[in-house]
Amino acid sequence: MISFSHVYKTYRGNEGRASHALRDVSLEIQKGEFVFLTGPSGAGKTTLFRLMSAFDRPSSGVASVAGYEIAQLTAATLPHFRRRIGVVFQDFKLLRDRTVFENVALPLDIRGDTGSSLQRRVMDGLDGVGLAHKADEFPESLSGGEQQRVAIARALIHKPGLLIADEPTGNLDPELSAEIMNLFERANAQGTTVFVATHDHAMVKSRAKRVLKIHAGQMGEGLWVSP
Amino acid sequence: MGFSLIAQDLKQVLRTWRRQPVTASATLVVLSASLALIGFMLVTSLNMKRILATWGEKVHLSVYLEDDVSPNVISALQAKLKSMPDVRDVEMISKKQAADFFREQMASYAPDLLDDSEFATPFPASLKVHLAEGINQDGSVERMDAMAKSIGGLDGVEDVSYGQSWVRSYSSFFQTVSAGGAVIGLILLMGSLFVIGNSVRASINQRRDEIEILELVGASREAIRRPYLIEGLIIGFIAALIALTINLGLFVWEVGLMKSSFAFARMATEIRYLNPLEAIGFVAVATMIGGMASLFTVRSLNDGWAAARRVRGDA
Ligand SMILES: Nc1ncnc2c1ncn2[C@@H]1O[C@H](COP(=O)(O)OP(=O)(O)OP(=O)(O)O)[C@@H](O)[C@H]1O
Ligand SMILES: [Mg+2]
Repeated sequence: MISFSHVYKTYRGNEGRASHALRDVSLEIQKGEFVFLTGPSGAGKTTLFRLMSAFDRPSSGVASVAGYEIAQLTAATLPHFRRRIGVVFQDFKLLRDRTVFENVALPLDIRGDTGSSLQRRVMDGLDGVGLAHKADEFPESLSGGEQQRVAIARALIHKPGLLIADEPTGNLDPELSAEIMNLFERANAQGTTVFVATHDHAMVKSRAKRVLKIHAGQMGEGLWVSP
Repeated sequence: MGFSLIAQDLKQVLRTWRRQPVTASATLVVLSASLALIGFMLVTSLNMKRILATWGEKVHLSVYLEDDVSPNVISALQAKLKSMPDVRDVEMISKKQAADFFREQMASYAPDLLDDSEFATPFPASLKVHLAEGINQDGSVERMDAMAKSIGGLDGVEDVSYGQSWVRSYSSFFQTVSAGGAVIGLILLMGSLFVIGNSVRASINQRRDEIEILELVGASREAIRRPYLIEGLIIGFIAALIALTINLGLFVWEVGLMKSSFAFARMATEIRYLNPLEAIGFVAVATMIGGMASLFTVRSLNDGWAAARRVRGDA
């Protein structure tokens, strides 16, 4: 599902000095896997997810996701690729002047779904993150944790083949975090490949999944075994 | 589905305007004003062309005959004139006809004059030479000069006249005004494009986040661009309607003014506003320009990688 080979992402600093946010990253994630990504702040987690969601292109190396090579995506193929994946961005990326309902409905909306089936799916999705009662509110009036759950509902609403979530429980209390993780596991059980970045070591430990570690732009691998 | 899509786009356009009412109305005002100017020049130039054409039809050479010229000479002269290349028709105006015509003309301008008994001036008989179409227009003033000169030398001809001075000055005035109008029109048109593009750019900047997010969830380029295209079309359309309304008001006012003035009363009946077809054309062109300006603007941002482009220092 995801295959990176010697991928670099290089930013040029203020004095023109190049710094590598990702350095020679190679990794393989199979279809149907559930994988955690951990690493300290500034390690490159968001950078990695940006490349995976074709938010941005690698500076060098080959990154392919869901059968598409990121660097080769064109304006015409880009939407097709993005409709196949679901992304929870660290900063949520909700539309400010659309309601919670409209935000969650977006992935269905853009592929032309309408009517009562859309209505039902969106309300089910909101129910799953415990926000059905906020359907008609605007994101601005929600708490950080609530906005995060709206972003999660939106990322899952179209049953994507791949879910990428950048610290999806960063603003949530332990109970809510556990519920969201259960939601991801349910999606995973239905065939969605899940890749989640998190700082929450306790949660990673408790779930006994494959774990990738990133540090200063470089990848390592480890497996947490539940006690 | 198509209908609900457009309804959604309209909703977005309204949302944009509600958020930036000042920008939106400033755009509308500037655009309406420049379209009104363009429209004014259009009306002016159309009317000048019309007047030139209708007056042109009336342009003819008056060949005044010597006082006691024989009928034989007249018919020979008539035949000779008819055989000239630019002549459409030759008409005999007798002394009596000339006097009647003069009286009739005077009746509308200066009725008092007719009561003046001194005004029974005898008029010479003449041949009215109607010219073939086209000769009175552009650049043919020289041709008419040459023609008048050669006719002046013919047997039985006393004098030739054709309103040389006004034909010449009107046609050169018209050419100057048309050229000047075209230049100003072009400048205004470019200004309008800029204004529309700018307004759409403002709403795009305001909606940069939205475009990025729509791209990131996989909305197609067309779906993202459509609301902006529609915004441009609407701005162009509304501004054109406002401009036409302003122009019509000005035109009616102007005609009223001309009617009340002796010198222009006759002209007031000859000029007209844009006919419905021209008005529709004007609105259609302005609407299209609006759509195009916004399309060009949105195209520069919405390429699928809008979000990535904002990342600074990308190597
Ligand atoms: N646009 C950019 N320009 C320059 N440097 C950047 C840019 N984006 C990220 N970086 C750098 O790349 C490195 C990795 O950043 P990244 O956001 O991927 O970290 P992270 O692992 O997601 O951290 P966090 O846990 O705090 O979210 C950082 O050192 C950061 O300063
Ligand atoms: Mg991050």
